[in-house]
Amino acid sequence: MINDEELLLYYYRDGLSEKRMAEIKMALERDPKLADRLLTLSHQLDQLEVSAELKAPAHAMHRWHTSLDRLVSMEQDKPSRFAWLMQPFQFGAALASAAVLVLTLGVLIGLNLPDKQTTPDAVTTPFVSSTNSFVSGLRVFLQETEMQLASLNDENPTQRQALITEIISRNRMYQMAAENSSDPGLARVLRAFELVLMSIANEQSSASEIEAARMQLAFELTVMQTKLARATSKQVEQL
Amino acid sequence: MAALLKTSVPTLDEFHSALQQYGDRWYAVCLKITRNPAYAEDAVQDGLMTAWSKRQQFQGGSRLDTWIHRIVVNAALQLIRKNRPQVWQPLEDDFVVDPKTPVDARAEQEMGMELAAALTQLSEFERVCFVLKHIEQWRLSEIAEALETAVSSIKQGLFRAVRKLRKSMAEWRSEQ
Repeated sequence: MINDEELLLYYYRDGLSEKRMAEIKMALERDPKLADRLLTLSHQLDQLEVSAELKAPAHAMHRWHTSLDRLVSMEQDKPSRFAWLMQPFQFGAALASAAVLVLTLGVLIGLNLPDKQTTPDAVTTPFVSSTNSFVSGLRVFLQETEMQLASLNDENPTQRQALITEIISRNRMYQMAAENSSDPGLARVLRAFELVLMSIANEQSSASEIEAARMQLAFELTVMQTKLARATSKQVEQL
Repeated sequence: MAALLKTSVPTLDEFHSALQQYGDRWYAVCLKITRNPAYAEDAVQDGLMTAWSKRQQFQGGSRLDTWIHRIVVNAALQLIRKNRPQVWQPLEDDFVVDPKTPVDARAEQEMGMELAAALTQLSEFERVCFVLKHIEQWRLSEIAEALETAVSSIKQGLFRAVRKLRKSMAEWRSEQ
């Protein structure tokens, strides 16, 4: 007796021993009903391959090309032009580690702060409030960054580089915090911000490239803030 | 296409060219795997970045786009695993994702109603087994390795997926 599952594996020519494959092949030659069953199955499966031609959204395609270029540019720039960034990074890493420690302590303290006798929600509230302190810190950072970027053209090159260095250090702090709190999605977004920031800081970028990167970052910051605001209001609703 | 048959370390231009020609296809498979346009976009991006950083490992003589394709699919699998780690637990814990979230509706719109609607009937595990086997034509053993589970589990996931798909396709046809 050959069931549909074995017929399926026969159709894929996978997952059956050679001996069983040969047995099914012989059975198919002898039994027209079985051959019909395989034909029906094949026909149905073939239909599942037909789907509309899918096109990636234009913004995504643009993002992928740009990210590739940025990655390459970063690789090339690392030893020379971004040396200034890598050296402070040691300091920045220490700063970020300290900040993560502070955040972690904040979470731990937050967990112990609320009055446990008050409501049945006492278990969830501290978690939400500690998460909220991280989120509100991030929102302030994003708002400040947005404002700083808006006035970036007023700064001279040295001031601009110092400003971007500071933003990158703070961005890395939140990136590490996001990674440590198992939020890979947020960490990935913040990593993407860093790539844009680096292209703004790149001395070899033309004015139009800097402006394009600045506009893109401003847009992404706005989107990020909207998402955070939405997430926060959802949390409040759930409470 | 022949231009993508490589014998040396691929260049940035070749990456751009592969992306231009096959980006839609990479996105499509990631969308089928994740059923989430944002995840699909991220998966292509992650896969591309990984491929670029590993370009020295690219085997000469093979096609760059198929090499990147494979890495992109793995990126999509990793993304699901990170974001929804419960989906590849033993089969008895496998669950059907709520079939109509706003994100799914957009995915459906992008993927084509018929196949997308049919795929919503599957659990995440079943869908991934089906897409990797039927659409990507991976060997069962390769799927098992990628999902870190036994071949027998993959077979069961595939059987259930096909059973459900045949049923929903038959219903869909009878309604037309």
